[in-house]
Amino acid sequence: MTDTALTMERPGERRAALLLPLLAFGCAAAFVLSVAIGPVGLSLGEIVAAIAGTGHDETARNIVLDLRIPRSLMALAVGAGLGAGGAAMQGLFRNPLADPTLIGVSGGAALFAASFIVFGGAVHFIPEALRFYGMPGAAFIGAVTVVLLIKRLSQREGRTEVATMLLAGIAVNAVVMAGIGLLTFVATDAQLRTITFWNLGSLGGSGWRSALVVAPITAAMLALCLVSARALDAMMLGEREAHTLGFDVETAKRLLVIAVAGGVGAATAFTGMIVFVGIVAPHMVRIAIGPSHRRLVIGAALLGALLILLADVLCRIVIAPAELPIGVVTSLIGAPFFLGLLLKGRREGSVLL
Amino acid sequence: MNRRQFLGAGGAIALLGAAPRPLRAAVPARIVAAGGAMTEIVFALGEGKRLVAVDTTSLYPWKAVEPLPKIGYLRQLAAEGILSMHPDLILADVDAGPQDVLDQLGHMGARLAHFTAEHTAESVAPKIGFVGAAIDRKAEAEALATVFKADLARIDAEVAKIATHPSAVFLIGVGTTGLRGAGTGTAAADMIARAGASNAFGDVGGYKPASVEAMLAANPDFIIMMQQTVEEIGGIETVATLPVLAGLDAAKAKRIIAMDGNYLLSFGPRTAHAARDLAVALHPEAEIPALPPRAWTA
Repeated sequence: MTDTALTMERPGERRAALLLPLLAFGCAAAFVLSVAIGPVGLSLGEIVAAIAGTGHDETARNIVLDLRIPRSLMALAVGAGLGAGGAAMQGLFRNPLADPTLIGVSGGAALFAASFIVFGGAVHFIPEALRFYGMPGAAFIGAVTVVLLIKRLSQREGRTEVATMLLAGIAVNAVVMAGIGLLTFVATDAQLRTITFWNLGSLGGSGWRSALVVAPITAAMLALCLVSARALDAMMLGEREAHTLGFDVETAKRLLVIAVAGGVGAATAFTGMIVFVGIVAPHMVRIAIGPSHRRLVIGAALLGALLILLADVLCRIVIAPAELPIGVVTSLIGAPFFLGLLLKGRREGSVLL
Repeated sequence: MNRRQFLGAGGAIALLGAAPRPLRAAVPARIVAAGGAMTEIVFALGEGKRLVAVDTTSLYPWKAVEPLPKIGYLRQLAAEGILSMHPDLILADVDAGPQDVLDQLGHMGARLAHFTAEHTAESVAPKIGFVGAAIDRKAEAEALATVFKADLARIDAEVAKIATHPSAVFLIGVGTTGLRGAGTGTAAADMIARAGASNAFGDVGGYKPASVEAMLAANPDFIIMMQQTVEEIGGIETVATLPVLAGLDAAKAKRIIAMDGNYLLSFGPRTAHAARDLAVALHPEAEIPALPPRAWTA
């Protein structure tokens, strides 16, 4: 019964059959490009030798194995998480303007990261080996805490009211921003600049230590979003209707919020704020293949990963040997493309937005 | 390829593998500097030609620094960008970062020399020694540090003779959103004290927004600003008439000192001369003899 009720976009299905493999191929190509290109000019032969372990150039091996591959993996995971997170939030709120920021992921991460930057020096109980995880750990805890707080605030009689959650999110985000403002005031000059750069986002600090934390969390998040995808489809008709159709709406909401808090929280914790991808990747995919959430989540994850991978390559080479903050590049290349799609869609009478 | 050539090639490869890593060379031939003072000291020690890239705060000596590749802002360095310059030494001042990137550079086997003392005039002589040791120019560094310390001591002695202690405020930002002043613990506060003035914005720590009223209450004798900021606003005359400053006696009397930010605040070999110039501006009535021009201040 659910199957017939929810097959609403036959043409989207055919286009998805073409687009999703294309995006997957694009991601793979972008990953290879991201490993192959960097400010240090390495030939393809040197890169292959470094990966195969047959090269004699230790520097080349270090650059490929310890900088480029973990960084590319990180870009892949972060982009996929942001894209899928955006798709899940837009579905949950039935609002095309929703993104993970709205439920406090970025704000919570930023508040706790800033707190750690300002007061972290006083935390002496962290063992040396775990020092590296101090700030990302704090940011992750912040993301999850603020999201759970917003969710708790919007609960009534065991149900999470999505509309309340949206408003509570706006209010809590305002408080969080005030907290960050206070922290920037008490911060020293050096701490202030660290906070500023954190807000711009960068994959520059990525290594195996961070990639191996973020990649599995993102994979788990994608799985949770896919499990809830059919419920999201049903919720487009309205929560009561979805319930009538036999979906456990509350469980789906809980799973989605936890998935997004964890996945986007972990990505943000290690890379700082990367805006734009979460809101735009799902849009672009929806314009192309329609609103079925299983395909949308996969498509948005792939497109998000593709965007971040390409943006990060540009960051590294445009002003080498210096680097651009990635947030600048994602917006600069993504926004005009998005606008173009939007205007084209409007001419063709699309009502998807 | 005959057998002998083959063995020879194999031997050469084995030798290459066994040779000490070129990154650990004792006398670095390719230096990357992160921090204006680091760059200045390398030039002052006569080894500027070995610099292959510098950060964007390295502005002196301008003619020599300008054509060098830039590795970006020293607090926002990129590991692979720096490695692409194939450095055998990375000289980093205290502000260099982020820490993740410094860690990465360390793991990559690049030799990283990170100077970690805070910005004060006292830190300059140790900083010169640190750079000298890192680039294997210890004797030259010792000579430079000795001259620097003597110059600084002369200025200290001259300033100590002056009976008056005007108050001054260093404004790092002046704009439509208000003022930002240099509180205690800042590089500017250290230079104000060196030059024999009291910091009128000394009740707070760090660079902080300053209320216009509090500034009126403190009513400093002098306003110090960066040359670049003054020029952006449109010159001393324009600065003096800005609504946020116009009420101050210092603005009315045009007691506004504009100094090159890099010269005043980078804490390199030119710091003694910068302290003298600031002291002269803050004590127009006093006779403070000029320091002899040095090779590194020309």
